[in-house]
Amino acid sequence: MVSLVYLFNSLLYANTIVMLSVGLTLTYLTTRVPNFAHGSLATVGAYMMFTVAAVVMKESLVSGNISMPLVLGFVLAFLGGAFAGLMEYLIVLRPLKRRGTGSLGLMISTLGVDIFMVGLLNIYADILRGMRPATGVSRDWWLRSYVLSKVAGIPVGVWVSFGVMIGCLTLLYMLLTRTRFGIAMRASIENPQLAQVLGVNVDLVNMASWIIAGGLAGLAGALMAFVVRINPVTGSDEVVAIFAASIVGGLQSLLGGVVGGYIVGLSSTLGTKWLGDLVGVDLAAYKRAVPLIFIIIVLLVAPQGLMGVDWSRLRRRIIGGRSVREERLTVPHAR
Amino acid sequence: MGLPSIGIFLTPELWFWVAVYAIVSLSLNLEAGITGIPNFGKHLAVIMGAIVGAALPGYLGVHILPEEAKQAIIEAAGKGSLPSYASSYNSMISTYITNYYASHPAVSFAMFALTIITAAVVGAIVGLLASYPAARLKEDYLAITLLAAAEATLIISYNAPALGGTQGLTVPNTLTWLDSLTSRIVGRNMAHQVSSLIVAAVVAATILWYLERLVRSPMGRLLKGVRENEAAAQALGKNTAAIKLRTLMMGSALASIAGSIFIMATLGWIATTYNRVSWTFWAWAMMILGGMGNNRGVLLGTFILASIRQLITYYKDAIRPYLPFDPVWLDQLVLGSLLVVVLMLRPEGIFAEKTTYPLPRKMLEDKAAAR
Amino acid sequence: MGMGLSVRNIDAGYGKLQILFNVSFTVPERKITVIVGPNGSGKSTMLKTIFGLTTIYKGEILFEGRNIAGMAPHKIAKLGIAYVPQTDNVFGKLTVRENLKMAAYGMDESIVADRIEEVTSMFPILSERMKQRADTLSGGERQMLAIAIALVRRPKLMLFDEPTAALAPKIALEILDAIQRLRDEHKITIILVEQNAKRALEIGDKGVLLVGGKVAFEGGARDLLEHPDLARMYLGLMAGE
Ligand SMILES: Nc1ncnc2c1ncn2[C@@H]1O[C@H](COP(=O)(O)OP(=O)(O)OP(=O)(O)O)[C@@H](O)[C@H]1O
Ligand SMILES: [Mg+2]
Repeated sequence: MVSLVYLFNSLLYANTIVMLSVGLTLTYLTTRVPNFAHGSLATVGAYMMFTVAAVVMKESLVSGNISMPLVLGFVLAFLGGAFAGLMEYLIVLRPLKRRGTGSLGLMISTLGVDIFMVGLLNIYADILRGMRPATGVSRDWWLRSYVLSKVAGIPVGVWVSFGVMIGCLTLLYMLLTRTRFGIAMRASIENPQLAQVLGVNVDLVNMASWIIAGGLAGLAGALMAFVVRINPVTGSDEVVAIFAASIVGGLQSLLGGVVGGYIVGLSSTLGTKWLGDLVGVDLAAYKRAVPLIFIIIVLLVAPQGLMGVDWSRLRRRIIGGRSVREERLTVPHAR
Repeated sequence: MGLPSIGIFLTPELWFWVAVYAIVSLSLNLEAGITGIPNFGKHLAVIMGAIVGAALPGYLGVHILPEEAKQAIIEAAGKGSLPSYASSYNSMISTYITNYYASHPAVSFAMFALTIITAAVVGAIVGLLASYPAARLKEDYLAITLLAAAEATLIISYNAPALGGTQGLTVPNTLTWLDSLTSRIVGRNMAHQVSSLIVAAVVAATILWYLERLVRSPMGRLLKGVRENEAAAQALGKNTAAIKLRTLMMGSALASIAGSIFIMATLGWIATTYNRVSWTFWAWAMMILGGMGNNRGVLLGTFILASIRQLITYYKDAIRPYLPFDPVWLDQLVLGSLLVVVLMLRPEGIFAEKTTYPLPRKMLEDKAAAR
Repeated sequence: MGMGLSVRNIDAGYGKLQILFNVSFTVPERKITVIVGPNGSGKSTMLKTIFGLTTIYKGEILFEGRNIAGMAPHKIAKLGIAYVPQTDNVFGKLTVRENLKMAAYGMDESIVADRIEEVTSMFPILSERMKQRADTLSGGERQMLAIAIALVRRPKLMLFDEPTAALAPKIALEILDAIQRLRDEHKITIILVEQNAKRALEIGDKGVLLVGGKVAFEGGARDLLEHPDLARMYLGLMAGE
């Protein structure tokens, strides 16, 4: 049986993966860059939260007065992640794109950005340690113990996590469907050249997408501190899971990112637990291998992602019905 | 500060790093630089080689120990039966095995050769598996798949009881046959370092020689043809999937050998050593800095970056008092910014690849001539 | 020369690949200028170049006396130039209404509804399809939507790239009719690239023949149509046919 605490932890983790996978998908759609530094954008947010809650406002945090530190921490986490994302685009990716760097080069450059950011975060963590944070340490810290008090039987952390996640995704949905800039973003994703021709400054759209993706990642990082012990490499280590979620979602739509985020986030936590109980071995240590299994299955079986699969056709094929020709699921990502 | 900085170029340590990394970055150059397969899971093959290097000489070594050594271990462990190599008696068992190898150079050499060969075979199998997605996925998807595969292997091997779990293993020394020779020349203290260097350097030099011949051969042109225009190569009747398969098997076998040599030198296994930054991203940086597709350039890039790393390692204690943080992080700042700066300022690397005949034209000419 | 457009000594292409070589011609105001030429001769590239979507190595493009060569496309759009590309000229994943809203991007909210009303009255079928995704439209409807979104800004100059390609003959005629009305009723200057040279030159006022990225003829549409050699060599027309 899965305990309630374990269930909550799994949900908290899955929420962060959802937010990260939506952001990764967004920048992939607008700028066509698979951003290997996306996880580190989250770590930036986590350390912003840490700076506010555990260093600057540590008295309030320790005295149990957590709302101010958390609110300010989230604001700064958003801003920090958004700033880092925007800088990654402006300083590294835009110049490289303008000089005609191919997708491989762009990918490598984001790896470089990731390593560089991890270096900066390591340095920052060293500096923070000297400032006597409330957690005592600046590595392997978390905020879990501060968000355990219950409201209506459910820990505050869970409320906050769902609140932030649902709030962000709703705002993003409204932006994309109800505002002109949002429609322009969708239009630029589909056909940047035509959008330009109609008067859209596509570069501005790209910048906005990096700000949004970075901000979402920053918030996700701050939320991650409710459930995972944070290190300068925490986000970087999650990047495979984030990609897995986005790939499961098909990298075509933000909704796909949400679905993929929950599938990967929950199966690597609840799934491994359940499987472990079934075979009687503790598989917790291997949960980080789960995203890989998803990547492999999805890319080799349904390269458009689960959202791209024609389910009715698949059902027909499995259940039988009328015999279907040797129809492969369409394969746009494959050569 | 002890030695002046020039001193690091006199240590076998730096040259060992250069040689081992040269094997990895040259094998990466074969895959990514020459044939155009973006292998972001290079550390997968290195890990597998290291696992062979950590497991084989120990598990096999225990069995070939003479009876009295076995008895001694059983007594020390007080268990009544021979404890497993990866048990908590690992370091004691390894010492017994090393002593046995030291007194039997022929056995030591045989074990060394067996380890290298097994690592190569295991590496080739890794390449075989990697070729499946490589034939099907486009660049970015392939990169993330190979990276994920390597990361998963790392996690599993870090938790595997047979490899000592998170504690790792002390590994018996299979280079004792060579150590006994080198110790006569450089003394006991340096002997093992120097023998490791010799092994790594011989392998690296062989690979360089082989790859240099390869790129100049028709096969080399074919590989570049696959990189430049896969469709054209296919149109000319070339089985590009088979070509990628062979390239990946070769490249992974070589990287796997590097992993086993690294274990032979360090005599310790802990999975986290074989992380993506150390064995994949550094190798990419070396290759890009030197010039993708150009073996000698890659060798130069390897030398430059290995030296920078050694310099940071060497001076970090000296500068630590002056910094509010640990200087080891400078390593990451250097690697990260270097990747970006090279792509911006000199994407073709220090030595741009020499343009050889692009495949389609050359082959069309050949065909025309044959007619 | 006033308000038209004039292309002067343009060299342009994609990255390092040069396609256009020293191209010069003028586009008279409130007239239809037809650009014709064999496949791959650079007609589409010429239109893209006017709109800032290629790399310009040299030369000027004057619009209302101002050099627009090298300007960002989204700024050119705001000068009153509209471009209907050959392919991918609507946003398939957006609804018809969203497509039209997109076309009004950056315009004052108060006039957007009027403008959408205005263009849909030209193509009434579109007002029945407002909530439908554009990729569900028929080929003709889609081309009408493409023209409609180009019209939302009330452009002074419109560039059409093969607007009748892949359309049934009857619908193709309707589209060409609509283009003529744009000139006659809305006083819009038009550059038209057409694969059916004969029909296009018949409705056009001026003709420009591009061959291999160079201007081979510039003059009256009729003169080009009736040119004894050029028409037959490059346009597959018999003179006087
Ligand atoms: N995006 C691009 N990148 C590189 N080369 C291109 C690009 N688009 C077109 N070309 C090349 O430019 C040349 C001219 O193409 P263009 O589309 O301008 O011809 P066209 O006259 O419009 O032909 P068509 O009648 O077939 O539409 C062709 O050789 C084409 O291959
Ligand atoms: Mg064209």
